[in-house]
Amino acid sequence: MRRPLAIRILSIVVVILSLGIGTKGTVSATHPFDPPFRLVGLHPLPNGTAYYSLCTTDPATQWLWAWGPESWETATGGAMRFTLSSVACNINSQEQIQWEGYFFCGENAFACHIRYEMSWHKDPTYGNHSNVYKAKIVWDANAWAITTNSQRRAASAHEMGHGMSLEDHEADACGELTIMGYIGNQVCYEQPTFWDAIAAQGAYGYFG
Amino acid sequence: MKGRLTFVVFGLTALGAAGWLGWSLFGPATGEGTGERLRYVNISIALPPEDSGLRAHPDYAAPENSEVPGGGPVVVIGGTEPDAYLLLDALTGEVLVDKIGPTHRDAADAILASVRQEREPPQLWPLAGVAPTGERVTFGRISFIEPDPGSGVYVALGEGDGPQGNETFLFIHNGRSRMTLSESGETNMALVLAEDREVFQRVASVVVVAEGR
Repeated sequence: MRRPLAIRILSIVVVILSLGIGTKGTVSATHPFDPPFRLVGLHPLPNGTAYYSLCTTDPATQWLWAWGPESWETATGGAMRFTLSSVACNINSQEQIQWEGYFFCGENAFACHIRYEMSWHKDPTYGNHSNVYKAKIVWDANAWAITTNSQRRAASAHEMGHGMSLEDHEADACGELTIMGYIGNQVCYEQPTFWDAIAAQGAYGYFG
Repeated sequence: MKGRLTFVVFGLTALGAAGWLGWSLFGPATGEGTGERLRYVNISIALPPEDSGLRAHPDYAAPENSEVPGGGPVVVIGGTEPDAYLLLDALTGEVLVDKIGPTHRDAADAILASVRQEREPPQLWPLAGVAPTGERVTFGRISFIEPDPGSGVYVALGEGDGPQGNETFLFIHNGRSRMTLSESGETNMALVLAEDREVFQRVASVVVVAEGR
């Protein structure tokens, strides 16, 4: 189903603005993986919904962990939807959020995003990409204990940003207008920016 | 003339037989059905056909998972619906959860019938043989060779984030041991059991990290 021409042109303009002008630092320099990683549930068709699950029973931690996917749903205006699985810590959900244990992030990491079930596609219609069936956001409990809720929300949205196929951005300057910068002491954003949302939808083929 | 033809036919047959015998004995360590079975810890299953609507993958249940008391290695078989899946204990092959509905019942039953205990390691790289020379998987600056799922060794792709910066890394695991290998070349093998070290080092030895950032 093709979108009206005006919307397609507007989408292209927005993508050019977000990716092209971004290199100047005046607008976001957020950038997707090339080729992109796409959580299968978030494909534009049939319904753009991915399921996530939380491996903790602590309500405060649940809220902070859920901030990641939910903040992306808000940032994309509901175009990319996330649904909490009805089964706690559901191992069959597409994004599982948990503490370090068997899965761990390596040295000095506060948190990480791990894709562990995927397939590669050379697709002439939607572009070369990798379908990601299962991924995890993994948290270091020791680092968690010494950070503020603001840092946790920022990190939550940042890690989910990897699930949205966005790479880290090598800068900690707040002027970059992206959630994908360094996770440091300075919190620039607690949720994805407009430009992050545009970049993620572009990576998933929402603009044709 | 007839005698010469007979000689040629016999010669070609003998050459073919010798070639087949040589390939069987000394060819690449492909093992049984390369790419057809998924192995994890002590069990293996037949991989679901692509048109079955099901996928199978190894996972390690967190301790908080109520369906796997205490957590542990499992094989997950399911589709994209999160509440319809099969969970197999990767240590015993026991069915821990069966929530597969009628749509995928036949395909799931075929997989269940294929479950078997693995007593001997299959002759597949990186457990044995030489690394395949096929297509490499590239992730950021890192490229690697994906082990055959029948080997029971898997590579996952990670991005680590902390106050000291961000780094992509490979997470290599087999349900008992696991290690990380980062784009800076740093490896963490502290959680690799002694009996798995050689195998994990084989996977790490064919990882290539490109220069620059």
